[in-house]
Amino acid sequence: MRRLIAFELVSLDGVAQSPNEWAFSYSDEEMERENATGMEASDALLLGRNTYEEFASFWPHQPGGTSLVDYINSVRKYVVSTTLEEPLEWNNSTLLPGSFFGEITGLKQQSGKNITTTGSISLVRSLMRAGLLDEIQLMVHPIVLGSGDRLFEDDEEQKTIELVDSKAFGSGVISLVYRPSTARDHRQEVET
Amino acid sequence: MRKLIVSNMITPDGYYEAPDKNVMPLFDYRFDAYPADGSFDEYNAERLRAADTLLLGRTSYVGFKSFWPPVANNENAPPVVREISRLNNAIDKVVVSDSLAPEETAPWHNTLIVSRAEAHEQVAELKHGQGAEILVFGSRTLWNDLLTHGLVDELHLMISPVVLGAGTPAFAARRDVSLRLIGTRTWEDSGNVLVKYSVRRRGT
Repeated sequence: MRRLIAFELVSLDGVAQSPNEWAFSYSDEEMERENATGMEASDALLLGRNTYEEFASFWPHQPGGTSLVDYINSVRKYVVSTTLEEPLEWNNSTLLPGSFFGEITGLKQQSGKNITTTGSISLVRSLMRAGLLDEIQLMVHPIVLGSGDRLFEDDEEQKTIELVDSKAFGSGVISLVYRPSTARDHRQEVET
Repeated sequence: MRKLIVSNMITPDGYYEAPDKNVMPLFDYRFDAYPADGSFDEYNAERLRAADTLLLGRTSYVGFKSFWPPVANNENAPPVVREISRLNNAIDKVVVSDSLAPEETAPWHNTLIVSRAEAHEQVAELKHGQGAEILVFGSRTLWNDLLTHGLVDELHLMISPVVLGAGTPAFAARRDVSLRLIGTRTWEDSGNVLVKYSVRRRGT
């Protein structure tokens, strides 16, 4: 059973929109090592359409030879979209159809390493609602953005999540790892 | 020079309170995942012991005053909660408000009411005086304003393991401040993470 993990860059006030505009200045060797650890534990990337398009227009044009560039360009990528069409242009990318929960459940039942998703805010929200997300790692940056899309944006989802790990980096970023599924699993049991 | 420390609970999605200004859902973790979690009270008591002035906005002042005074004598309350009540009753309080009348401070007579127009000057003066820490609990509108005006020295945020999805954001707008992480803390049997930042206005 593979685990599905979300890796998300957020501001101190919980905004997850467009981290490419504010997160890079906090990136350093220590944070890159953290990224590398996540990559080693994962052999597939799951992306929503926006994040896929952003990545596909950026990463293939970066010079290879660094672990992040080589990893992201070569790893198996699954893309959730109802508007994109096969074949997808970025190396090793496969389209998942609009009714993707079954496909993702199937992927999780395969043997292999973790499946990671990153960015892809609306996809992550649906995965959480469907109880398919095993862990969410928030990289909380010491910046206050004031506005922008948040990862959790639906008060129906108000619930306790379980803290699994926390860590501070020299850059001032903190990593908070949560397991979101406990409460949801319980609720499903009650309903059925 | 005294430090002004803002100590608040927020959620991982950046909220200060749930819709309808209800702060209680932030503590829902006590009812399911973390029934034995006393970290919030423990840390509040720690901050109060280190302070000799409690600085509050009107809403938080009125809310705290309607709850805390009798708790010290409540034999059913946990010792740390009774201590928080004693400390809250004893500490000098400063409330920023244009509408609160002196007679409304009872039984907290050790309260100085400061008008909003005088708030920055008074707070700066307090900070320049002698004494222990100046502590702000709750009081979101007040501390957002103090943050913008360079009057906050440290921001201590306890991140609750409760996702709200909607509510009042802790930060009212983009804040052009530089936050340096100076510490984090976790507790056994708790989902809370305390993160402490020292605050500087950009360019200072």
